[in-house]
Amino acid sequence: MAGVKLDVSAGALLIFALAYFFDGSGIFASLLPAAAVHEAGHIAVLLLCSARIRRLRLDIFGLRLDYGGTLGKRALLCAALAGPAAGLLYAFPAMRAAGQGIRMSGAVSLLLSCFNLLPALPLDGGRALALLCRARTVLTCSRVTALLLMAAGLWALFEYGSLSMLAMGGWLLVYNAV
Amino acid sequence: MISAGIFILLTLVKFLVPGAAQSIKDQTQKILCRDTDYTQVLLYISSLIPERDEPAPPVLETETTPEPAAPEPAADKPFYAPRSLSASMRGYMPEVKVPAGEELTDSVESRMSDGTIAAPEPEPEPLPEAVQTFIDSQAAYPDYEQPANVSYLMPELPFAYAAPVAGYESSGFGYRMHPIQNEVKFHYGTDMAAWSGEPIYAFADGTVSFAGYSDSFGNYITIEHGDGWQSLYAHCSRLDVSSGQSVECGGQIALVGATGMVTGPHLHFELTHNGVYINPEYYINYTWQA
Repeated sequence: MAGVKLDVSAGALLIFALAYFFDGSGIFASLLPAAAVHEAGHIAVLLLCSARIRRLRLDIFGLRLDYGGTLGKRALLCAALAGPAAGLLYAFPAMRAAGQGIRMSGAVSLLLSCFNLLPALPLDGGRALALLCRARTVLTCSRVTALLLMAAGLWALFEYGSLSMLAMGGWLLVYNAV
Repeated sequence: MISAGIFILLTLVKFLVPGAAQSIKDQTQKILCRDTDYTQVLLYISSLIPERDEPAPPVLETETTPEPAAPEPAADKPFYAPRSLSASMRGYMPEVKVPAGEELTDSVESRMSDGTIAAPEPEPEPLPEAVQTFIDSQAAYPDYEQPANVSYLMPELPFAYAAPVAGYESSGFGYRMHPIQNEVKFHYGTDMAAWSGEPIYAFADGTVSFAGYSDSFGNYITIEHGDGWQSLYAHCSRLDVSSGQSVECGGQIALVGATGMVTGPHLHFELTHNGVYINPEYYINYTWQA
């Protein structure tokens, strides 16, 4: 672990700063521990499976982790599911905690974990599915999930005036379009 | 450069004209949070979890030590009638994902400083971690000698290289139980399981020295990378290059298949230096996009 390079791209720093600047409700602050626990879950399993981590990069697309060595199917499956699992393990005690900030980060962690378990690429659920099924099956599953999410998003839009779910479904559909 | 500029500008604005910064902030928040108060939704979700008198289960993060007996502050109570909110909460499920994964330096640093990871004990001749792990794994076959034409060491490659396929390891380099002959045999390469038709990429720049068929390897390719380095890609369903052609590192050369002596589709990948087999797993690197 001694030779690990740590990079933070300027773009990531900017998004971080912008989010911090514009976030008045404390949601960004509660996302920090939730996301940290999620990624720590992935990293812990990769390390346990003796992947040699060379470089960690934080760019606008999230955390990128360069590791050396080849991993088996079970290890990759565990690594994909470890993020949501860690998130859920954190979420339930945190939501019972006394502080409002911790309770919020627990709720964020719960939503983050559930969303990441959806069977669509590039989410963790889709990644696990990609190890088990043919590429074409995974693509179909991702598109169906995206369309279902968009349908639910349309309902949310008309019922509550919220665009968020529709946007996420659209993003998943675009990601799996080509 | 641009983002650094915006960052500095924002910081300056925040410090020099706090009033203006505040109004920008309020405006943006009004636009972003027009439809719902996310804070209330999130707090509502956490209030769905029933309070318990018994101590909460162990927590991952130290900062979350719960105080189960503490009286509930009024502010933490549900804000809306449960039915309408549980529905609206579902509407916001994906929203939290948007900036996810942008602020993970914390977790990374805590993992590195907590010391759980592999502090290797000092040795007289420190081998690279990868080599040591491999040699340890071969200790499971004490009755078998290291073959003469094999090196367990990890020489530095004199060229840039890339992973030959996206897949998972199904059988590693070294002694293993042979899946067809059902006896312990030395495996001179690494098997990467992948679906038939997945692209295979050249490990490094070089010239194709052979592209053809054999009964055991099926359709296979060998590439010379100079200085005596050679790589081999076997069991392909289709070959995209021919003998004598030069290839670039990471360029597609074939498709994964199940030709030759196999039990299923995979890439058998070998790396040799002047005829000596090297463990290719030392040089296969992947990126985990979180």
